[in-house]
Amino acid sequence: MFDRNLIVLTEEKFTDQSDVINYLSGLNNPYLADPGAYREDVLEREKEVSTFVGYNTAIPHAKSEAVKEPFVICAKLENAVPWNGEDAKQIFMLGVPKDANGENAMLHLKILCELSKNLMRENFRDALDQAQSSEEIYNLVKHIEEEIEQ
Amino acid sequence: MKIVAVCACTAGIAHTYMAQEVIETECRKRGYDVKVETQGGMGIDNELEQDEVDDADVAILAVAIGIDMEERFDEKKDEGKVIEINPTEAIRNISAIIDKAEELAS
Repeated sequence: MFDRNLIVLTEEKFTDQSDVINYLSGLNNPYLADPGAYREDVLEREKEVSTFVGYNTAIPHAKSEAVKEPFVICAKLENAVPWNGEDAKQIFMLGVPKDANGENAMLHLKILCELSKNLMRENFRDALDQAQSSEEIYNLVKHIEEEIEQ
Repeated sequence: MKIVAVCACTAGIAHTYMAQEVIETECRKRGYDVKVETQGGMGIDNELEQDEVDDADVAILAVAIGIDMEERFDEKKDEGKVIEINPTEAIRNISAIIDKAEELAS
């Protein structure tokens, strides 16, 4: 679900939301069966309604056949990217398998639910904002998972 | 004031719960009773009973898809006490939406 290799801090200058989605879909991601198909599903979802949620944050996502296991990519951009005309610096790109069933799937959805709620809380956003390394970001999101599993 | 709400988005993995969080937070900040039902990937949580809907001053439907048991709100709609919005709008403009709820309730 959360993975050190899926936490990205980058100084890359992206042109728009599609550029970021392309880049993040291309990471070495063991949870994906088909990165190209996943990217298309995320872009498709983004076209329906922008996933920009305010606070310089966007949450592109897809429930897709191209996803093997649920995952969260956390990306912190040094340079804000125009996301449908608004500035995004924190990107949480989510993937969930199309047919998510069973106890394990419910746990994963619960983690995504808690992550979503946390993103709406000022103290969590501030902590993310201040995080300087991928390890710090990893610990912040991992903490959400640990709280649920206890 | 009592506010009830239902949140539901297309994928049911993120916006539903973000909208729930902002509605609960803003209502509590203003000292209102609030109960938010979610219809998402985990099914229906915190389900609203008919009498809870009837007792509420205002209902907010922050939904991007058709929801189950929408008929619970028929009477409230006839009274003009229902605010229907997209979950993203709730997330972005919660303060204005609760302002509107206050107007409808008065």
